[in-house]
Amino acid sequence: MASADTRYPILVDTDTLIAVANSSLWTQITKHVGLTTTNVCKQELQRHVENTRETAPEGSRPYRLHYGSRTALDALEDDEKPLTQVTSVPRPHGADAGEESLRQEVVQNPEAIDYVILMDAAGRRSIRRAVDDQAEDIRVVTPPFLFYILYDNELISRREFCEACGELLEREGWTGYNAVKAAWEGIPIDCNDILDDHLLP
Amino acid sequence: MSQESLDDTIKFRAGPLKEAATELDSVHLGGINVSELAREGLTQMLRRAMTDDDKIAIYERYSAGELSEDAARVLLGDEFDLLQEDIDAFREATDDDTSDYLV
Repeated sequence: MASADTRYPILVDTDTLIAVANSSLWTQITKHVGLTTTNVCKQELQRHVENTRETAPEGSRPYRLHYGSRTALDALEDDEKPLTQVTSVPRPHGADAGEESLRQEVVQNPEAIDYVILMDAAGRRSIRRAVDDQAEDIRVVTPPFLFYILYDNELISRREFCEACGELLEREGWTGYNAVKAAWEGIPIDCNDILDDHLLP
Repeated sequence: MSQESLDDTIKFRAGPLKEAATELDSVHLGGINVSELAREGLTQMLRRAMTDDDKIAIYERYSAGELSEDAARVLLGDEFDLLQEDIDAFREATDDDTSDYLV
C-alpha cells in the first residue's frame, strides 16, 4: 500500500506513534488509516529501542518506549502498512528534533498536510502557531483523533473507543488526560458504562 | 470572579518573614511590593506542590463547577488554556469527513 514516495495527509510525531502502537487499536489503525511521520521521528523511535531494555518491567515507561517504538518501526518498514516517512531538510537536532521536524513540514509542505497529531500539549500549541503564521488550514489535534477516525467510520465500537482512551489515560498521566479530555469534550461520547470510575471524569 | 474573592486575605504567622520583607523594602531602591511578591510566591509554590494526579483532580473539579475558573487558572497556569485549545481543535476536527483518511 505504501511505496517509498507515498505520503498521507496525517502527520504524526514520535510520542503519538508510541502511544497508539501500545494501544489495543494499533492493528486497526495500521489497517485502515494512512499516516506519515518524519525521518527524525523514526530516528527517535530507533533511539528509544536502543536506549531501553527488552527486559524492562512490563507496563513501565521504558517497557512502553521499547515495545511501542519497535512496533511502530516494524510498521514503518512494512510496505503493506500505510505508514510512511518524509525526509526533513535541514535535519533538526536536539531534544525537540521530532517536533521541530513536524513544524518544518508544516512550513515547507502545507498543501500535503491536513492534520498534525502530537502527544505533547505545548508542542501542539507551537505547531498551531506555525499554521496560523502561514494562514494555512491544518488542524492540530491530540492522538485520540486516530481512535475517533475508526469510530466515526464504524470500524470500531464505542466500547473499543472508550477502552483505548482509558488505556491512554492510565499510561500517560496528565499528558494523556489532556488528550483524552479534549476528545471527550470535543465529541460527546459517553464512556461511563465502560470505564472504571477512576478513569472517568 | 467576584470582587469579594479578590479582597480575601490569607493569614499566617510571619515572624522573621515580616522582618526580612520590611528590611528588604527599606534597602531596595524604590522599595518592594511585599503583597505582590507574596501572591506570586504562593502561586509558584502551589504549582510546584502539584502532582499530575492533583492537576487532573483540579481540572475535574473545575469541569464539575465546583471550582472557579480563576482558581483553576492559578493552579494550572498555561496548561489550562492549552487544554481549552485542544478541546476546541478536536471539536472542529469532528466536523470533517474522516472517511477521506481511510486507505
